[in-house]
Amino acid sequence: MSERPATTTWRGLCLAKRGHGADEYEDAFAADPGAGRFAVADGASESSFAGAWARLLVDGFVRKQDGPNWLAAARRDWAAQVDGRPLPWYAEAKREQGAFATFLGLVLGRTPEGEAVWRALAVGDSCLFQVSRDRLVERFPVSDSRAFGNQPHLLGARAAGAARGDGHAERRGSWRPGDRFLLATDALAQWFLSRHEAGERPWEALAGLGADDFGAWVEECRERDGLRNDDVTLVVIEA
Amino acid sequence: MPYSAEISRTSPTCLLFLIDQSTSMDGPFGGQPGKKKSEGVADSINRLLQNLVLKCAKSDGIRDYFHVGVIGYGDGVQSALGGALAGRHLVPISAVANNPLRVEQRTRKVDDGAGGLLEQSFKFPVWFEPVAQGQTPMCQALTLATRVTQEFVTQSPEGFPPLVVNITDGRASDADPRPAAAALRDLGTTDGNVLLFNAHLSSTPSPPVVFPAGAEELADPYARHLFKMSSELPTRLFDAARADGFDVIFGARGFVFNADLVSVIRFLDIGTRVAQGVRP
Repeated sequence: MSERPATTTWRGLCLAKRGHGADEYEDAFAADPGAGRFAVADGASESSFAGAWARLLVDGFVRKQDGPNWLAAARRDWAAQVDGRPLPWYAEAKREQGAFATFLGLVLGRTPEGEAVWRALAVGDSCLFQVSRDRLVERFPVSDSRAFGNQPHLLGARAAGAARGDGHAERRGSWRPGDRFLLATDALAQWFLSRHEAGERPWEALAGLGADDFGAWVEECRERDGLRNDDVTLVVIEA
Repeated sequence: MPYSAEISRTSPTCLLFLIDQSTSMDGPFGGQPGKKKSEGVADSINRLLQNLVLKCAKSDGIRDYFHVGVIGYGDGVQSALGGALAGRHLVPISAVANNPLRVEQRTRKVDDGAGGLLEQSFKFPVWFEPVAQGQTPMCQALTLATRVTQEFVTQSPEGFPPLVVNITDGRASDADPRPAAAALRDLGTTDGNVLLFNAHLSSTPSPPVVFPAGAEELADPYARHLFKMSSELPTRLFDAARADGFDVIFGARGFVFNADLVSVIRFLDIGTRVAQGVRP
C-alpha cells in the first residue's frame, strides 16, 4: 500500500479518569492526516511513566517512515527520558519493570491501482471501528463488549521485560469516501460495543461531539450509561 | 454485584495484616527448610507491603489507594509498624512506602536477553523484623482488627470493604478465635462484608495448600479452624485467581497453608495490570 496522503478530516478528544487531574491522564493520541496515519495508546495504570510511553508510541507510529524500527526508537526515547534520575526505591523498581500500554495504529492509503485501503496494528484492547453507510463494518481487535478485562496484552517500554508472549494483531481492509473510522481506548470502546450489541448506533452520539462538549458527554455517560470510569480517548476520522 | 466498588484515592480501601509473634513462631517453617516461622512471616509481610507499594507507585509518587495497618500479637497486641509509623493502626500506603525501617541493597540474576544471566542489584525495603516472644492472643488481635476496621467502614460506608490478612501458626492461646473472627466478618460496607483471609505457617513440612474450597485436605486441626474462619473469595477475586493460574473451585476461601498470600495483592483491582506484557 502506498502511503500517499488520503483526503481526511479528523479530531481527537480525551478526558482523564474521574478523580484524576488532567496531568494524570495516561492515554495518548496522535495523527498525521497527510500521511493517513493515526494512533491511540493507553498507558497501564499499574505501571510508572506510562503516560510518557503512550505518548512516545503514538508519536513514533504516526511519524514512522518505513521500516520496523519505530518501536525500538520509542523504547530508546523512553529510557532516555526516565533513566539516570535519582528516584525513591519504589519508583526505581517500577522504572526497571518498564512502562506498559495498549496501542492501536491505523494507516489509510491507496494502492497503486487507486483502491482505498487501510491497515491496522493493535496490541491489547484499544479499538478501531469502521462505519460505512451507517453500518458498523469493522471492529478490531475486540469485537465483544464482554471481552474487556484488566489484563489486556500490553506493549512494554523495556524490550526484555516485554517479551512475554506475543499479543499483537493486524488487520487490513478497504474503505469508501464518506466512511468514518473511530479509534477508542478501552472504556469507550467497551461502551461503544455494548450500545451496538443493544441495537443502537453509538457512532451517531459520537459524531456530533467536539472539544467543548466531549467532557460533559463522557461524565453523563459515566453517570447514566455504564461508561467505565477510566481515561477516555477518541479519534474520529472522516475518510 | 458485591465487592465491585472502585478502589481509588477518593475511595481507598483498608488492608490490615495481623501477625503472630508468639514464641512458637521460633519453630522451623515447614514451607521453607532452614527457616523459622517468624522469618517466614517477616519475609511474607515485607513482600506483601512491597507489592502493595509497587502497585500504587507512579512516576510522580504513590497513590493512596490503600490504608494499611500491621498488628502484631504475641507479647502484647499492638501496631507492629516501626520508625516514624510506630504505634499507628492505619496509615496511607504512601507513608508505608516512604518509611521502611531500612532499604537493603540486594542482587539477583536476570535473563540478559541473549541466553545468559546478568547480575542486577535492586533495593529491598524492610519494615518488619522477625519476632517470636509471648503467647498467641489471636482473639485480642481479631478484636482490635474489628475496632480498626469498624472505624474505617464508618468513614467509608460505600467503599470496597476492608481486607484483613492474618498470618499465624494457628494456635490461639487466649480462646477459640472463631467467634471473634465471625464478629469481624460481620462488619462491612454497602459493597460487602469485611474479608478475613488466613495464612497458616506450619512446622510440618506438608505441601502448600492454596485457596481450598473444603477443609478435607487439611490434616492439621488448627488449619481446619483457620479455614473455617476465612472468607470465601468474592467473584472478582475468584476470577482474578483463575486468570492468574490458580486452580480454584467454587467455594474457594481466602486461606493458604505453608504458602503466602502475596498473590492476593495482585487480585485487587485498581486499573490495568501489567502481568502480560508482550512484544509484537
